[in-house]
Amino acid sequence: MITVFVTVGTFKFDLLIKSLDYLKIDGVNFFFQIGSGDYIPINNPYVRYTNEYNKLVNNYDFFITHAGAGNIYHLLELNKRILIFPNLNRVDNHQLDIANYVEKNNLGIIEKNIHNLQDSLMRLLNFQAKKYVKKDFFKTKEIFQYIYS
Amino acid sequence: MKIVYIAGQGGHLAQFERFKKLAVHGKNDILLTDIKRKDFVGLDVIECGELRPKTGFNLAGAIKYAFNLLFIIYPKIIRQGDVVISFGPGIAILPAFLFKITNKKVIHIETWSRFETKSLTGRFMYKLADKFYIQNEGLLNIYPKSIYSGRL
Repeated sequence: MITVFVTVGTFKFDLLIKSLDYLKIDGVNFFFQIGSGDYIPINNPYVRYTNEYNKLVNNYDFFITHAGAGNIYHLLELNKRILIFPNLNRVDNHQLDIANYVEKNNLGIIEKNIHNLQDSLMRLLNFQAKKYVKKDFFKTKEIFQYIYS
Repeated sequence: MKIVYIAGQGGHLAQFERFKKLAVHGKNDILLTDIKRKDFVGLDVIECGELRPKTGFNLAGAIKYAFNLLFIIYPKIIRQGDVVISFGPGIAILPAFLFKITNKKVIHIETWSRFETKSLTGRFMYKLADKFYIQNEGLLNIYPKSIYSGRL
């Protein structure tokens, strides 16, 4: 049995949570982090938020996530396999910017159509991602030199 | 020297937390955030409310923000702070403007979630900030005077 961790951050994303909660795939179940969502899962376990998030993610290999950048970078740094479902109800389009980056660099799978979620999930289970490499932040010293100049 | 950090909840705060691990902090530094979800050791955390909730602008939030501006942001931050380091979102714009017109330094680190497009906050902060850092090199095309910093 594979458990897929589904996380939506601090906001609500009921469409995603509810669709997955009712999705039946042999050998796959879900663990939800639902944020401030109104929909309460009835077929799979869930938490709203957890202070143990960083510890918890180590127990899972597969993730479905909204396109929150903090969460995506964190999972990529841990070499997790991720399926991103951008929350297009958000006030601006920044979730698309990072989703496009992930897709273009073959770091994860992107799905924008809720009706294709099952197919995308099956792809995720066999997906070989490119390793995430980043140039670390290197301007801290310069910033503090400027502050104290 | 009193540094005022500005970072809203979610990814903005995540970037601030990563920066905080790299940076040296004074004893009197301040974090201005929209919704306070936790404390930080050695930082005075001030909550100002959401100016532009993720579901869109709302009047009640704007009124609360204006109230906080008069009674919290101006007396506690603008008068006492020496420099601002902003990670967004829009709650940073007005304090940055007030710092700017009082000849104090303004530093903005543009969000790591932008690769090819401008954020609303970025548009304003690009004009206000003395130093405008970008975390993704593609943004050099649309912010030509920005400084590439690598990613938090």
